[in-house]
Amino acid sequence: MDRPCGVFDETYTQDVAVVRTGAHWGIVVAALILLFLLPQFFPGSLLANINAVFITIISVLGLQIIVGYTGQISLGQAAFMSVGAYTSFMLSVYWHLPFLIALPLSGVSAGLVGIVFGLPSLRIKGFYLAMATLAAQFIIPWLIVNLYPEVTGGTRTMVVPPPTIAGIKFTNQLSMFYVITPVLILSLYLVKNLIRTRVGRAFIAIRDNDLAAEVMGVGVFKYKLMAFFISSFYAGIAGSLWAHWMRCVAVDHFSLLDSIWFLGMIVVGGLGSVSGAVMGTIFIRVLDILVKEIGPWLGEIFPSIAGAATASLGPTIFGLVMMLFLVLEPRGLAHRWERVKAFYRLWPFPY
Amino acid sequence: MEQTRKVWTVLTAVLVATICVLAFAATQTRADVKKPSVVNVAFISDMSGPYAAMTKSWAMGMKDAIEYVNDELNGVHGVPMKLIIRDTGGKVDAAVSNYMKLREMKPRPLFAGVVVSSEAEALKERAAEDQIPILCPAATSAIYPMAYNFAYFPLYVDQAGAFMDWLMDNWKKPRPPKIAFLCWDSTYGRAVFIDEVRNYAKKKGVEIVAEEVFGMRDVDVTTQLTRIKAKGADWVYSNSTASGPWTVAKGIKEMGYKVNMVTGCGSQATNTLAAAPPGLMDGCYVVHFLRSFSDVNNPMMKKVRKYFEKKKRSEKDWGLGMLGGFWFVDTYREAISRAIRKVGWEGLNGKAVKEAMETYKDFMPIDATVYTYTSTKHSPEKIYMGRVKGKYVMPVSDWMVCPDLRPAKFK
Repeated sequence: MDRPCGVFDETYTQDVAVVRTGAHWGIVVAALILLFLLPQFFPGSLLANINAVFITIISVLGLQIIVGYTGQISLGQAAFMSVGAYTSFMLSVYWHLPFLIALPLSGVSAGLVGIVFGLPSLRIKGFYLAMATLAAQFIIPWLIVNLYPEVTGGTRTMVVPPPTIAGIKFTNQLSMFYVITPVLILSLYLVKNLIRTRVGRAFIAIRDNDLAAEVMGVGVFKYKLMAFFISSFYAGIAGSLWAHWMRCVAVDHFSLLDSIWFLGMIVVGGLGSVSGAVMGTIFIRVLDILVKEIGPWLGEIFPSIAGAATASLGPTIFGLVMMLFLVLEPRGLAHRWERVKAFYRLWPFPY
Repeated sequence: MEQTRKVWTVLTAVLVATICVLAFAATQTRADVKKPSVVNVAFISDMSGPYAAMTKSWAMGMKDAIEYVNDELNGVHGVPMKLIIRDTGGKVDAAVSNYMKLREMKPRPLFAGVVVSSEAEALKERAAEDQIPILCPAATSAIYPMAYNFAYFPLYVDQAGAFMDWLMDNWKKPRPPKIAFLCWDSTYGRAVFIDEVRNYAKKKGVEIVAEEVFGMRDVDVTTQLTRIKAKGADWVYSNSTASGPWTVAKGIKEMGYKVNMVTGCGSQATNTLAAAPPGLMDGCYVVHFLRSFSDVNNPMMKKVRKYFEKKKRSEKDWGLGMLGGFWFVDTYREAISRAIRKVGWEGLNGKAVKEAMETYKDFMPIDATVYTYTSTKHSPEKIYMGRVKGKYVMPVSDWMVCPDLRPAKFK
């Protein structure tokens, strides 16, 4: 990556550092302080949106690992979230396990289920793998509803207790923000570093050319399954947070449409980029909120088409944004952001 | 002495008059101060997702109804009502964030309507904490254990029981009638698959021969109907809405299957009938809870139509959804009015409104349906059986009281 003029790496540690300069550190620390202080002044509705976005980012980060870094299509991310959510619900309600134990276990259970649906990835890829993972979106909800309905609640909405840590109950949006945000930061940190490890490079090698990767000694099957596990682990963590944040869980909460939205988020943000997952999620979520605000307003102006305008606006804009990004900026918002950063880093020099 | 008495009498009279005037003035001032400039009520629903087809006209109806209440009924005790509509897009998290926005409003909405079961269930605990009554669909878990949620028609299980009552009253053959359930594979659809319904069927002498489900996006139920036909069902009961009843009706017609079809209230609370392909739903029986829609001469029906035409709304949106908007607003208004009468403006809050709702005894919002709520039952109990003719439901029974099939733990 380009450095500002006069900044040189003198050691390997400096070369691989995520935070590279003093100014960079200053920005990170200031951002973290702001991140934890500003919400004190935010209304609950804004915090509810932020919490939803942060949980979604965790799930989308998982999808970024499997799609963006390993090159495997997955259409079952929402279903893997549901595994995490239901695991967390059952561990909390039936086994009375503390939230901090239920959370990672939810990730592990979703990860294991992810491995099962990742098994076909050795033989099939592309469109066919998409179909195989799509099966997760049908099989998992079916199992939740039909396998042990007396345990899962079947199609009923089940109440999940709010998280309790060290005797403190996290019931409102502000307190939930302080539960979700550290998990998000940890997730970002881990993914960012994962990609720079031997495992991450193996993922990228498989994405770029799985045959070449295998010839170079990368265990393709092992790493593909690992990618599925990690991706679903993140989905499970997001699902657990979702259940405790919503304080209820139902099979309807994790639909195929959500899985498609998650894919849309990484397309818009940029495939193969951690910041892309974050930007794409925020962009699509904000767009979604705006559409919901504009719809009724359009209905007021044009009462005769009120219903149609409101109903069709969301899918239309979502589709349009996808098309525009694929045509005009296929590398997503993250790429655009890198270009902006590069411009200011080198400014006023043109090199 | 006489002079002194006169002085004292005058002074006493002046004092009493002053106290009276001051007391009256104080009351007036307090009332003026406490009286809000507006009474906020809300409607949270999926208007751009899977439920959009049916909730859009509902929202329009509510807007028209608010205009009617403010223009013709002088609001609530002279204070105009204001409707806040929030779209969830069918996403439960959006329902939560929209709800958070509502609870932060000043004045906080005194009532909210939610028409998607999963959203009502997700908001149930929060609404109870914030003491905001919610009018919502009749899935048992959305209402019980009791909180601030009120069902806007009888519980799905109670409706199924009422249908069995009517069926047995009209059954002529020597053998027991056979019914098959063919419902949506969702919280709403599966609500009738509980032991209380099965036991009630046994008690009434009705044989349930199948409990089948189909997906909310399915367009073909031939497989399920084939199994149902093999079991010799006389009736197919569908707990589904939006396109669900169309799918079942289409399947029955395509198979040439001679069977009676009946749907629960949920399908009729929406635009299902109005938007159905012509003739598709004709002859279908419905467990129905709204009287006036089939009665075009009803004064309230005319009122709804008047506002519909005034707003130049599309004829495609003319249906039960429009009526639903009016009946929601009338229910809100009545509860808030009763609460004001009981506790005054100064004591008006969600708890008072909820308690006012619990005093409803055969209250008929816009003359369309019958609501009785108590502090132990938040779901109404009256329905009637109807039969579809064109866009309308023609009554084939009088109002009936549904059996109470709540699970015992909720009674």
